Amino acid sequence: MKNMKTAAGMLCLAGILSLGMGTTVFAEDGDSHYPVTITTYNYENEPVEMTFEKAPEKVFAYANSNIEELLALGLGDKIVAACGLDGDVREDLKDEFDKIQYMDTKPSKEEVVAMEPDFIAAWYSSFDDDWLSDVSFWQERDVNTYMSLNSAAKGPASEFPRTIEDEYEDILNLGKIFDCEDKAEEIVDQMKGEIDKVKEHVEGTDPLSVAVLEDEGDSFRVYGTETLGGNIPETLGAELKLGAENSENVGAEDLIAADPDVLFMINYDGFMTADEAIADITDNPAYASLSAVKNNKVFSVNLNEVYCSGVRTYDGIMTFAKALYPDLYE
Amino acid sequence: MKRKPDFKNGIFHGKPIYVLAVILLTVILVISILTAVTIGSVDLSVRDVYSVILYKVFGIGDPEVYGVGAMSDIVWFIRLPRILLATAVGMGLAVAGVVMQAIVKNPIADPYILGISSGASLGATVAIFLGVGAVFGSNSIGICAFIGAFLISVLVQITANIGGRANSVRLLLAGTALGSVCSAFSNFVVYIAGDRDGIQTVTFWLMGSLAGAKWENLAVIIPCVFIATLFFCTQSRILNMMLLGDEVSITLGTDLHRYRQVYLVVTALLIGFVVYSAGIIGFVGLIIPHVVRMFFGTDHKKMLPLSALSGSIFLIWADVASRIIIPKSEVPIGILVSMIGAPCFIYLLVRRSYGFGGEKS
Amino acid sequence: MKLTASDIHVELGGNEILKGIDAAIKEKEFVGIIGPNGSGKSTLLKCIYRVLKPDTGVIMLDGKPLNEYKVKDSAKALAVVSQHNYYNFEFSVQEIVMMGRAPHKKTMERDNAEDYKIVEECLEKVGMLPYRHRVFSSLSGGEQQRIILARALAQKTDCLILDEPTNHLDIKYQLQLLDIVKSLGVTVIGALHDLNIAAAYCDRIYAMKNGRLVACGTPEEVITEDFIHMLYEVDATVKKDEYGMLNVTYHPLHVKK
Repeated sequence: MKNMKTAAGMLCLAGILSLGMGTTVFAEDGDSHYPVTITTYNYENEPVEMTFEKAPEKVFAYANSNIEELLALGLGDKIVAACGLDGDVREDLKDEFDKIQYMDTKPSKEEVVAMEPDFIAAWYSSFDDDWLSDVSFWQERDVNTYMSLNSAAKGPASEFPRTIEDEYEDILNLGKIFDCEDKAEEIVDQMKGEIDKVKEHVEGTDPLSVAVLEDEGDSFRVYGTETLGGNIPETLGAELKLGAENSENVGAEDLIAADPDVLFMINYDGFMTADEAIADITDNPAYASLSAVKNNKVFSVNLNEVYCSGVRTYDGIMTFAKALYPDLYE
Repeated sequence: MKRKPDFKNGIFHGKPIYVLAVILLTVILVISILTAVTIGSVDLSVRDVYSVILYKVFGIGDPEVYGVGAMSDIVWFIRLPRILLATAVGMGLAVAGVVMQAIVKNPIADPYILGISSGASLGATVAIFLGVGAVFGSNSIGICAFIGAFLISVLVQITANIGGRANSVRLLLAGTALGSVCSAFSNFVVYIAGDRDGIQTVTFWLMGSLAGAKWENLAVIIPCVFIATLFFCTQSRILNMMLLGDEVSITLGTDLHRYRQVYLVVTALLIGFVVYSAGIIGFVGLIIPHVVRMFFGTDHKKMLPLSALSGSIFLIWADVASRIIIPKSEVPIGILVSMIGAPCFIYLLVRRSYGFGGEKS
Repeated sequence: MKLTASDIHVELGGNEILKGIDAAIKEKEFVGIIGPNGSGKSTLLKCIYRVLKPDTGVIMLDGKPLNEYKVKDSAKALAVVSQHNYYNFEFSVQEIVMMGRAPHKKTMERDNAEDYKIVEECLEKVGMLPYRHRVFSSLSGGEQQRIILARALAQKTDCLILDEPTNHLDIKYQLQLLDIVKSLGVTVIGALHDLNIAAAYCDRIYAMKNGRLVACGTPEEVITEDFIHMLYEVDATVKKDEYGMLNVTYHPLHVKK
């Protein structure tokens, strides 16, 4: 069994290597953008090629990342239906959002079929048998699909770490699919620009130590190096004090022992506000000795900015950057 | 000793009524399937629904209208497989419940009692958290659950046979003990992994669902359930004897030991397939046999076909209810069935005299 | 039908329950086994009806060792009425009696008209035909034992084994049951508690104590005052009554002689 698993792992690895650095794009000569082929994944984490003969007209979009990306690319009129928003839509997209057909509850598979979409942009988990069923069902019906990369499209985070690069790639892929690559690059460049600015600022200084945690009651969930929540501060030049190796949950004692310079607590819409997440630490006498508490370096970051964040990756970058390097933003 | 009223052995006793009931339930089952297929979140006319089925089954009708497109897909690839899966799973659970109650000589047994559910959970947990079974592809959870369920029921038998022949009490003890071991390991894996998405997947998976119905899977599970049901229908005499116990059965010319082993293997396979395609759906296997017994008595000759049909009908309508009880959202069928099943069970316990015949001592 | 047991030893949980039993039962004989509690009566019968396997020794049925019979075939030769018949599930009287036909049926074979006729006859014989659709557990203890007897009869065997079948029964039912059995004209082997009843029905009596046979003979030969004292350690008077029946009267300690 173990051998088989190793063998399977090797095969996967070989597959990834042979795929090269992600997406392959075949564009025809200058005047015609289509057909365009992009690589996405199926529920078995296998790469699948999707060819678009023209820009999709009827899109079914699931979750913040896809909905907001499409809206930000100015594609709101292509959305036939959307669902799965966690909290409110990003502030600047509210007007666009109000124009689309948004469903408060997930439509059943038969409702999605009845919409007759020609493109589905969703998460890995959407394609399980209990909801949309695997990509092949849709492909057989000439419906192209796309799976947000950081939603476990390639596999579990332990093997395929979530990265800012993958968020870029989602945005750029959608740009290619809808022939609006300029707009997509603009969004990505804004994020890259901010990161470059920070990198330049921290050049030659000692890295700050940070921890990104979520209070789960009896222990803390750690956003480690393989998560986007860990990847963003690392990219911004900080060092993960917890979760540098893996993301096993830690207890209060571990946090006190780790004593990071800056502490980020996750908040999520509808359950816990940023202030509540911070107060969780600062109001607890057990953590009074933490240097982050003493130096007022406890901050909060919204889950939507660090988990399949799409266009909000920028917000995540800004949240971390402003907290880590306030002097840069004075 | 006080005489109990006569109807206790089932309200309808005579043979003609039992045969009539089988025919009636078969008709109800067919009507249920045909009715359920018209119910769904998308509004399709009854005429269109049947036209699609007519086209797909007999090739009658316009292929352009009924052979392709959203309407055809909804009826043929979403609704019908799901209803047929409900039919098969309901039948499988009810039959397995009847057999399990006979094997362990205990009216409160359900198909999962001998550790099968814990084994399936452990299999699913291991698949989700440790990635074991990835070689099986997209259905690795179901396949691992199947393996878990099957291995545990074999292990239960082996354990029960250590130091003497397995009887119903030894089987129950072995099942409970090994079930606890499996649950502990599942919890251990969940705890160590601490993966929120994984926990959610396990939870949803264990609640049971018929949404994953596919024709490919149905092609396996329907024949399996059907063959197992027919097989047990031919075994009614021995199932009856199981309720009398090993000693009496020997004097009646049957050594139950061998039969019990065969039945356990067949049941484990049957439940394994059910778990594979629908997760764990409780209470059907417990309640249906009881209800049938209440009306028609304990004789397995009658109970088996009637339970099989009732199980199918019950699960078809439970699935319809799970889809429409809360508009625009689906209640996991496992929860719904337990919500109906638990009160039924309590009612049965209150009516204690039933099913626990004679003096206890 | 002839049954012989030679040198039967049985050990259960480290205790030797039967310490070498030799017995021979002739055709159409009504044989009673008496003896105090724990003497091994039931164990011996269980060996005969194959719920227990003797550790050593062999039981022969019509000249062939019992363990060479299929259980199905021995169930066509020996039927059993035992004391314990509590069931967790509710069967009708007819369903219980029908199970007596099992040894004669193949696994897939359905019950036919003949089986129903036999069931009817057997219920008739024990006087329970009107109860055929009743629930077994709703019957009184005596009625239940008669149904179990009917089931044994439905097996159509030449030999009936009674494993203390009249325990817990009123005297009326004890007599009723044994009268039915006696009238059948088949070989009967029965463990009996009541010496008066044993004397009244048995052709021959085996007496057991501590896992051994201690006496064998007609009731007159076995049931004597000295022997009862030896077997049960109680004092008794044995007389013949006006009908020529043996009559055992026990002497409790508080009654002075």
